[in-house]
Amino acid sequence: MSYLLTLVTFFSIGIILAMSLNLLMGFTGQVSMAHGGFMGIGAYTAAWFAINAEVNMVWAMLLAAAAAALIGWLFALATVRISGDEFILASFALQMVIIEAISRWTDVTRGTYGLSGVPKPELFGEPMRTIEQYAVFTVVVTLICAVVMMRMAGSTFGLVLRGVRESVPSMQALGRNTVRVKILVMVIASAFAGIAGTLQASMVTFIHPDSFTIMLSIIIVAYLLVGGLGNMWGAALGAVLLLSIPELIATSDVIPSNLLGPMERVIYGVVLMAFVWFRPKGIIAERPVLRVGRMLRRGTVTAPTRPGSPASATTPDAPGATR
Amino acid sequence: MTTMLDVANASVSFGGLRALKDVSISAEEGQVTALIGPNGAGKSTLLGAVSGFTRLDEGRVTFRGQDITGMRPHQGVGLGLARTFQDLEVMQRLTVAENVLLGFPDQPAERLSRLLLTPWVANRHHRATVQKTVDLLDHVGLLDRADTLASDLSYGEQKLLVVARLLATGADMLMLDEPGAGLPDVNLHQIGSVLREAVAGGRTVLLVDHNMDLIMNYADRVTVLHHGQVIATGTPAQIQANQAVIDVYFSRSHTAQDPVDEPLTPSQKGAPDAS
Repeated sequence: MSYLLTLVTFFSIGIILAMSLNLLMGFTGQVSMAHGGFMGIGAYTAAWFAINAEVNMVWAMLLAAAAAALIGWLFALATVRISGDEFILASFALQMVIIEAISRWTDVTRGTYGLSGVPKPELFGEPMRTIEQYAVFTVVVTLICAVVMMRMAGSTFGLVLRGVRESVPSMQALGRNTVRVKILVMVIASAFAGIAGTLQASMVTFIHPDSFTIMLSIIIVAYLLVGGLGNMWGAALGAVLLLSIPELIATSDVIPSNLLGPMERVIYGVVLMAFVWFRPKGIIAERPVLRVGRMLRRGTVTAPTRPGSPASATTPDAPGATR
Repeated sequence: MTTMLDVANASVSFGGLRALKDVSISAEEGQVTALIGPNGAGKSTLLGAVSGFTRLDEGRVTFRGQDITGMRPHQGVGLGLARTFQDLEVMQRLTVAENVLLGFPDQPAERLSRLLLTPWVANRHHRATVQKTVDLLDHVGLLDRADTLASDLSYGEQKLLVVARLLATGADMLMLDEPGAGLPDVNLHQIGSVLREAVAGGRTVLLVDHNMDLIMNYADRVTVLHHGQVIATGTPAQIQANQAVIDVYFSRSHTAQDPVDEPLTPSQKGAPDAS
């Protein structure tokens, strides 16, 4: 039972990471290799306040989100003029800087010794003692995060993000401040990564620079590539699937236990390549936000009935008009 | 008649190339002003300068009496100017309806505070905006393609989509960069009639194009640019009779040395990519 609850907790954390990176990468088209680093900033911030200032992890989570958002904001300001490959490289560099900073700022982070004894959150004046309590807490936090992020994704806000991905000039010409949009989505994604980091820190009680390396950032990107870029359900599914792989290997006894670690990465790599090759849109592909046909059928909106309208009277029969 | 848009003594250089040299043009309210000229004459540069995408080295842009020189690109719609692009810049992986929906400015449903704190308000506004989108799609004849990805449209339909998106902004000054290029006649007249209706509804249009059918049938005034300078201004009939224009533009438009834009056919152009 507790094994299952532990899994549920890690799945939840993975879902927050995947969904938040999806806003940035799937929707806005900014491929970030620093999402694991932002998670680390959140984990360390929350752990430091909880250990040194005895801040309840519930509030420390908000501080963690704010700290990650702040770094995300500074990074977004610095990278606002770049996109595509250059943005990937910049985020890669940021990931390295974050890990270096955590490793060397020993007064605060205790460097490579790591921070141990990270507490569980307190609710109603009582610290959580059981994995059951903590799993429920994590699932509730994840549901709140997921509802908020899916609301963003499924609205005109999500469309604006996709619009920036598709064409910055046309979004500018349509009156959108694309610089502001890019900064905003970076801040949002970082804040949620900070929340995920807090949940992780409380769960494992010990955090170390190695927990938040480029390897983690790549795996979060892999969640999206497998599940479906630009689709929030796909992101969640990708996280759960990839987090299940090591558990399935470990329980199946097919691979000797001393080969488990290296084999895990090989299998991740093979799965990732297979998806990029055979199913590049992921398991659940991106879907339109707006379904006019459905809204017309349901009567949410109505088709105008203006007979003899000059434009609608002529059906365009240009080449390629029909499929 | 009042002047809607006035460009005075505009100059732009790209490196050593002087794209615009002391150009002055104006657009009168409620008219279709056309800007023509051979390739490289500076038409698109001028459109960029007016819409904030290109910096002017010298000169002033005045819109409704307000100096808008140095405006940022995203500020145009708020002031009442909107533009299209020669390479369309359609959002390929969004549906036709989504492209048009994004044309409507200041939507409560894209503001996070409204979305998350008063979702019912955002939803109500969203339904109204979708209804306006449906009406506009019907107006340009694309309603039956509403849920199609823009990348699956024909070139002519994509051009109609761009015009619909332009109308959605509600801007009083509509600036179109080559809406007629490469269009089959049926789409050309759809766009022409949509523009004519917009003007009848009080909008002002600035049209950059090569298509003589479009210019002669729909423009009220024509300005001809050549090598970054204005060489003639007048009614379409005056321009057709102007010897200087005939020399640089019409008579040599089919010689190999002078790369005047040939209208592209859709098969040559294909779908523009979404880079």
